[in-house]
Amino acid sequence: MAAPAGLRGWVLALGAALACGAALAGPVERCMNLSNALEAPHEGDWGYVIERDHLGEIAAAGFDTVRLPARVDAHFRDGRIDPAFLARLDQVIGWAEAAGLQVILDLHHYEALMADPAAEADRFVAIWDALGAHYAGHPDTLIFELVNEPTDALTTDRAADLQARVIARLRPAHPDRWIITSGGGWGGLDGMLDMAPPGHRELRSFHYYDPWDFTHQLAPWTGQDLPARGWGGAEDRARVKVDMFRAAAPGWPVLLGEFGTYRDTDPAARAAWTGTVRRAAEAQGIGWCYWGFAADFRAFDAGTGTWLPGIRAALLD
Amino acid sequence: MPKTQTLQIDRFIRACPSDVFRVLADPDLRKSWLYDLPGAETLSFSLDFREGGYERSAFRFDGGAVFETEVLHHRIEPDESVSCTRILRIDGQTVSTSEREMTLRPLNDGCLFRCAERMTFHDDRDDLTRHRDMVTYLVDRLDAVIARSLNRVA
Repeated sequence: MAAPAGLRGWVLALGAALACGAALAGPVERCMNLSNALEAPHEGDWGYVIERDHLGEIAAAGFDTVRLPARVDAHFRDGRIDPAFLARLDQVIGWAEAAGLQVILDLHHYEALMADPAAEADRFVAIWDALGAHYAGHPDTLIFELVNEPTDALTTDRAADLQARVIARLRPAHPDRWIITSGGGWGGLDGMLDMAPPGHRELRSFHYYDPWDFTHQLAPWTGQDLPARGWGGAEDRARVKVDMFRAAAPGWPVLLGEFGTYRDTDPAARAAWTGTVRRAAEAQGIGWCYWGFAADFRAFDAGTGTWLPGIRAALLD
Repeated sequence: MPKTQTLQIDRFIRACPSDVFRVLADPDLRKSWLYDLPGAETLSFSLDFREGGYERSAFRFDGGAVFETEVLHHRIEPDESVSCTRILRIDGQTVSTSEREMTLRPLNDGCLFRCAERMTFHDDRDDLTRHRDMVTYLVDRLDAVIARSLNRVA
């Protein structure tokens, strides 16, 4: 049976036209989110204050990176970041680096940007101008994440345009720093997959909390009164495998920037979901950041200074 | 931006669904219509035809670029349907991905084979027209292999 006219020619031309080379590997393998601290209105409001020893615990457990969510926009006035807040960022970044950890500095909870990207675009750019100037010359173990979970009016296309604008301004002083970008829809998988291929040292991120009614069950702040439910059947596990396969499909450097379960979920089910997601991501070469360290989705009990054994094993064994 | 488009190809095949399903599921039969293309050298092929199982292949034409396909099967209902995610890479670069569902429905003295895909093209040197041509060609080959397996043709 002969191939249709032109088909074989297309195959040959396509092969000849494409450049060789595998996608770059990302810089992050195992990362912990320092969640609910510096993205709260005031550090401590949401039940967690970062302590120096915690960075040591994280490094000793086997993580290579921490992600530091920070609500920088709430501390940005008159073209400058509040020096006290900037000093706190510097302090935590310094603690992490002293412990041998990379740091992802993540611009978190910029709600006004989600509501009205056009009105906030220049301010968003100015915030990154300020952060870029402050961290110019800093080792490239500091990674910038431009915006957490684009959503609402900050669609994938708008988020992509805005992030590209910031990257262009950052690059002269940060030529080889990894910069993390994400798509719309709360930074989810489909938004990421709708983006164009990333540029130099650009790491694509997506967040994964599927199924939502499992990972957020019993969480009072969802406003959804989600009842307890289980997880772990063959179909549940297959779905995770497919989603990670899809995430890796474009061949870009990809980071699973958040995944986790609410603390009141059944511990065995929490551990099963966490381990399944982590292994499926690693099988596809995807680095990950667990959400989060010691607050609502905790892996660590800051009161006793101990890891939750099921979550620790699911992440690291 | 990647382009996402949908594709559906229907084909009446004069065989019962179980005979068609066998040609989808049997590694040797599957390789014979899906990969051993005229003028192509098949470099590798493996098939784990189970839910959660992978199919991987590599081939090239005239010593040129290496084409790789990787398929993850996520739902298999014997004699009825197969759902999978498929990636096509050329020299390690992803060209397209698809969410594919193949269904079989008894019809008259045979069955209706339907291949429905949600395609994402990551490179503008691939497009829906070319992909449709390729799938149509492969379904022709599938039909021919089924006919041979049923001794309908020499």
